Amino acid sequence: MQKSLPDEQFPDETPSRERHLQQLQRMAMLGTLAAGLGHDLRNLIMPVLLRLDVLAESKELPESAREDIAGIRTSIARLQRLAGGLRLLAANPFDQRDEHQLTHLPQWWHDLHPLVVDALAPNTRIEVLLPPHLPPVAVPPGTLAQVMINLVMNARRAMDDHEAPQLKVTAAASGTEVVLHLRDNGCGMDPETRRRCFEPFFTTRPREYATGLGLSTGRALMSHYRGDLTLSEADDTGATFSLHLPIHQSALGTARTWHKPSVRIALRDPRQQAVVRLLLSQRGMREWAEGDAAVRPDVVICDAASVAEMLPDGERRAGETEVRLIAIGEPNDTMTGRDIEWIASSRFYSLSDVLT
Amino acid sequence: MITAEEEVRGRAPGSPPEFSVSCIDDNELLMDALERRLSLEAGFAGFHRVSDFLHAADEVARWDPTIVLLDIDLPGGVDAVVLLEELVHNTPDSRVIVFTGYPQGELVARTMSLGAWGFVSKGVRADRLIDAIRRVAQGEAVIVLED
Repeated sequence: MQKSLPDEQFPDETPSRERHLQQLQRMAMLGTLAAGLGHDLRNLIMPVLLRLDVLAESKELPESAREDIAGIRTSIARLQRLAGGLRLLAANPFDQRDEHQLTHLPQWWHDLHPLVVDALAPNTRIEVLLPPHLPPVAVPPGTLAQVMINLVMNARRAMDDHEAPQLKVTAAASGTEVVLHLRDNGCGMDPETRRRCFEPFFTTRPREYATGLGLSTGRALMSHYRGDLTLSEADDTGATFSLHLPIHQSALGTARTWHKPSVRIALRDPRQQAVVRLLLSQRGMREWAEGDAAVRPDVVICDAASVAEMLPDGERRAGETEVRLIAIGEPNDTMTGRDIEWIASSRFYSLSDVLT
Repeated sequence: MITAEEEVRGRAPGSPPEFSVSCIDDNELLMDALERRLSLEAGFAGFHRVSDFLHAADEVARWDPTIVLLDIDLPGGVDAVVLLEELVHNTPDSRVIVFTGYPQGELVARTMSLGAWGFVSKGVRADRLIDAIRRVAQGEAVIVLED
């Protein structure tokens, strides 16, 4: 049964419940603002890059000017990544469509990384160990980003006086969940703080700087998606928070054997090919080609009209197939919106189901 | 069946194919810079800025460009996805590249399924955009979401 965020965590019409709703509204508003800023930045960055390319084409440019251009490009590339990270924060916790979203953690971290770097002191060492084939989790990327940034900002404050601040992010699949650990080497927490840190309004900072709702809202959000946010046992130094993220149902049962299935793309329309190729790469699947080490692909995605051609001879005769076929498109060359949206929808993840 | 070769227009033996671009965007800085950058490309035959978004499809039909660069976030309540459908219907020979600062998987699938030939994020290097325009003009379908 799907939990309801406010009711589950705060059963009564208490001030806590009201303040939490306000906090969620604030997060939604800030997320929208941040994403809008990221969008506007990208609109401004592209003309700068185009002009730099024009400048670099000039044959009369001295070498020193070319070095200047390279330096500007490096800075712009960083700004561009930051703008890209901001769009992740656009999530609205009230958006019910988010229920169907999932997150591929390595890609998510790649997008979020610039924001994490900016949230930490410049001398912070960030160590990340995210296995590339982690199964997708059933929490929207934006919600996860909001909770993670909140934890990172807490970590920064805890490491303020540390000469060599260090943040370690690790993740591993276990049973029906992926656990994402965030460990800092900061000042840690005293027993009282450890006991109360998830209480609404509890804060160790001056009231004018903190609402004391960050961790409790983070835990409530995770609970909403049937996950959890916990604090690990006391450590000698620092603190470790763990995000318990339920594995998306499409990958359950394959979590232990989640590998890169090889997929042969046998589509004639270049647009279909491009979209399917993108989807495969985003999901860590490998495109199979003639001469591949594997004799045959795990899956063939083909035009509806060419299903029979795709079957190996023996299987065509026997009437059964070892190769899983996914046929899309009408029996002509026109890609239909419904077909491709089907691929892009979460049902596409049933690809992992057919492989088991 | 669609092949790359038969879609390429204006190709002369041994020279890069000619291509023209119509740009549907409200970002003047971007269009100035893009026109300047494209002017350095061999085969570049012209740049047209759509001024009236409400009648963009008609304007593009009159210009009949090789490529239409369509910003998905247009002002004034213009639905760029509806506009994309009009463009595909009215000028099927002009290939649309969707250009956006907000690349999302769903939007890629939706716009490509409606008939766009390219999808480029505004968060990539400028040479990736130019490369995408060239390749789509030569008959490829191109999606560029990141460098």
